[in-house]
Amino acid sequence: MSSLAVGLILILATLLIMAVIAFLDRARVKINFRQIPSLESLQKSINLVVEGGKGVHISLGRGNFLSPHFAGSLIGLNLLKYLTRRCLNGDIPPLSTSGDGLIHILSQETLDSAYERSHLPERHGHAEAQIVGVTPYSYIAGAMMAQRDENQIVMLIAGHYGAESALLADMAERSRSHTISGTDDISAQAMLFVTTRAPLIGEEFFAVPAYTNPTLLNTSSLKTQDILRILFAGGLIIGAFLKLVGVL
Amino acid sequence: MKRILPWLIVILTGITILSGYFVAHPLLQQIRAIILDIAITLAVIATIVGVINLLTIHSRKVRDEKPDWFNSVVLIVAFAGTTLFGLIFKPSHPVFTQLVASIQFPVEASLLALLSITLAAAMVRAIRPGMNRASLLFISAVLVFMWAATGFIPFQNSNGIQSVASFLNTLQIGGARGMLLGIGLGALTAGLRVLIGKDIPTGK
Repeated sequence: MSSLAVGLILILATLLIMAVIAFLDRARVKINFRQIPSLESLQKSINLVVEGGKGVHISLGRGNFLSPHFAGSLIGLNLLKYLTRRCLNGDIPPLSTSGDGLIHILSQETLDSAYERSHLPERHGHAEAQIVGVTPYSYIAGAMMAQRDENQIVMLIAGHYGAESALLADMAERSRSHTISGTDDISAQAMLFVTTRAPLIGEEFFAVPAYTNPTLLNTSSLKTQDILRILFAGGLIIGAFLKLVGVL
Repeated sequence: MKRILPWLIVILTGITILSGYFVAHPLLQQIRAIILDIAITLAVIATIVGVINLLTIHSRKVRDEKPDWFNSVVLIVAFAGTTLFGLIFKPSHPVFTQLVASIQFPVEASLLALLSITLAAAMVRAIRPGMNRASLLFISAVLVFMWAATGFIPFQNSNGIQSVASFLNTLQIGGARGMLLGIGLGALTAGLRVLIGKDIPTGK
């Protein structure tokens, strides 16, 4: 079987499982997810921002929309939407920095829609959605400067990064900001694991929409991920066993 | 409607591009190529918009004399100089390439050096009181792999040592594959949610 056929089967199977779960849960969205400490700390951080009157900085990375890395940026934009809505309750709009033109435009749109939803005038200027650099290191340097200048109390690193993200996380930790990080890049995850207090590991990052906005689609999508992961893990173990006994 | 229309276009183009991977029809391939060309052009335009935003923010910093406004002056001057030089001599000109390489590469190398110090500092922080199982695991992994990377493993030709090294290598490959699997499935469902049109980040 060709890899294209496997890809098509996987996409169709994912859609089918999502549809079945959504149909079964249609009457009531069942939220029985495990606790993710980093996401729990996100809730506490938002309270800190709203009650303390301090700002939040969300760094969206530089995932190009023509590459698979854009999935990480989509999760970052989801987080931005959630944070903006929550922070606007305390009249504190978040600062969003990005390293890609399209993510920047989308982050501005996200801020606009959050203002509109909160029945507030679109008063944010360019300062609340910034592009700080377009190459990996210039982006990190720019985001570090933005964090230092604005001195936000909470820093969220969410999107696509390389190993250089450790510099930004370290800077945020040193400025005593509460730092939560999540990325789709495995080397960046390893770096962020040791430099941030609340890292999101592996699939935890992609579980964010279901935890922050538990709609039927988001929860069924997360459950589908879990089911497929169990199936894949089972398949790998069975495959390894069959190879061990000489069947494969 | 203002926000729905762009996402309707996103969904339709997404489905067309995805279909192009699986259906080898010439017309679909042609449409896919045209869409990709448009996407690349749009990406360039988005970058220009981003650069304008960058310059606006820094010129505002200079105007308001915010802390470290001189850094912004350097950025604006360097940007203007690079653009002018590139427009006059073209980006492939040897002097231009040399100039960019002489500034950008050393700066990036310095940041890379800083990164290694940052990681060493992070490891020291992990040793402080309050160390948990994860930090213990991290420190032992770093020490083992640093040791292995030096090539100074005693009796490295013995079968026993090679089996242990192979076992450790398998452990980290297994862990990395597990994480990649989670990330891959997460990316797949995130993409499908957008294609369905129900997960629009900029939507209400």
